[in-house]
Amino acid sequence: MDYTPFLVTFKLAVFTTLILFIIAIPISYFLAFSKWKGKIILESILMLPIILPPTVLGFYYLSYLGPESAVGAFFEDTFGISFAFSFEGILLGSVIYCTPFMLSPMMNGFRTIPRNIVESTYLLKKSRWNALWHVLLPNMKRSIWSAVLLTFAHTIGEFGLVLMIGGKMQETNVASVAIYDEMNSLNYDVANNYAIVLLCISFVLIVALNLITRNNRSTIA
Amino acid sequence: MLSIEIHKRFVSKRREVNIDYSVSINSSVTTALYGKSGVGKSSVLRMIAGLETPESGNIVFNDEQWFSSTEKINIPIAKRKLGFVFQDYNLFPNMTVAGNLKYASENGKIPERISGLLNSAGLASLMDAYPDELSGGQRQRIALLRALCQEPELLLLDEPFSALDDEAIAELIKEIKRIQESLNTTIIVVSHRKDVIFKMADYVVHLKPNGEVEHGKPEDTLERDF
Repeated sequence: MDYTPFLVTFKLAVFTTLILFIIAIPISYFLAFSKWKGKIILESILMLPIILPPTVLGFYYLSYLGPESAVGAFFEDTFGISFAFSFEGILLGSVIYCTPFMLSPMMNGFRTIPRNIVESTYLLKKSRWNALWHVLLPNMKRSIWSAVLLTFAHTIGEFGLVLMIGGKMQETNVASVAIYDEMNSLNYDVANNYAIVLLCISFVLIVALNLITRNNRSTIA
Repeated sequence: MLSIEIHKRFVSKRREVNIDYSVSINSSVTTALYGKSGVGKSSVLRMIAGLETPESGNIVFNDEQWFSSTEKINIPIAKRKLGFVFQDYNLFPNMTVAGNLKYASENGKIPERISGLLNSAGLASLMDAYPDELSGGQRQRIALLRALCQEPELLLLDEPFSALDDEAIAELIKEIKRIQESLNTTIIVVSHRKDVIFKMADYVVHLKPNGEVEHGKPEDTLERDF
């Protein structure tokens, strides 16, 4: 069995999770606490990939960032970065597609922290930054773990979007696409091997999610 | 002396609340804000703290203007030299008692007078405990001491007895009195329980729904009907 698709899958999942984790903290904090009236629109746009068919996202992604597009051509000519048919391309697509899975648990985490706890940090003269690192994030470990594991698991299972953006290149050949290709080539045994591994990984991730989010002491959300 | 003259109208729990009070509170004594549910006792306290903003009015503490709608002054919470204890969820669950106190202290070191109060209150043995390992009374007493870590000139207590049984209330009252005697802090406590007010308050400000305010000593202001 060729293990390359698993390496690509894990690389994609690790980078997607890492990038989204860093981005999601300030965005979810803003969406949870801001009184800006327009945030419902911003939140809706960011949550759109939950219900949007991956093909719709893939179509617009390629239309506006693909090699034929002005933005795609500019980045390719200027920086040598291709947003389609490359690992960077599927990574960007994956980050966009998985945003809701990181953002939603994080926002819920911030919103679940009692108002008194948040206000206590103001009353103790702590800056928002200090309160975020010392009080808010440590009290929402369950939400953070949910966000990280859900994003990681969802990236591992991505198919349609990666197929559209990544094409059939070795550097974009993730395990889910490899199963599809082997099926089309009637290599059922190989497809089965890939599928069993993905099934086991997904099961382990769900068990981990359930264990970590259950009864975590000294944390609120 | 704390002088407040505040106005705010808002909807809470589907009921319109109209806060329109003018009150003066003496320094270095314990004053209770008393009134029926819905008169806006907690909102008044939150406006003094800066957690809510009045629509109009003035808040002056010891000749320092904290809020003025006409002069457009609204001093940030961090500069108001006050401590605040809520009804619940005061302590940070991710920190031990020691962690909570150190976090509240300016240089991360618990002030000596707070250590002294912890020892004399018999709470020093709880330093390594997390909030969920403490009783409701212990949590409130620690919260009270944590609020003192930044040496506030004004201590605001918002219904601190609500979730406590009689024994815990007695201990907390004892603690507040000890603090009052040793630190001479100005304390304002919101409570709807007359028995508690008679036990601990030097003065009462009785807030009434029509904006009327009655104040004086508890025995002169409230009926002893408990």
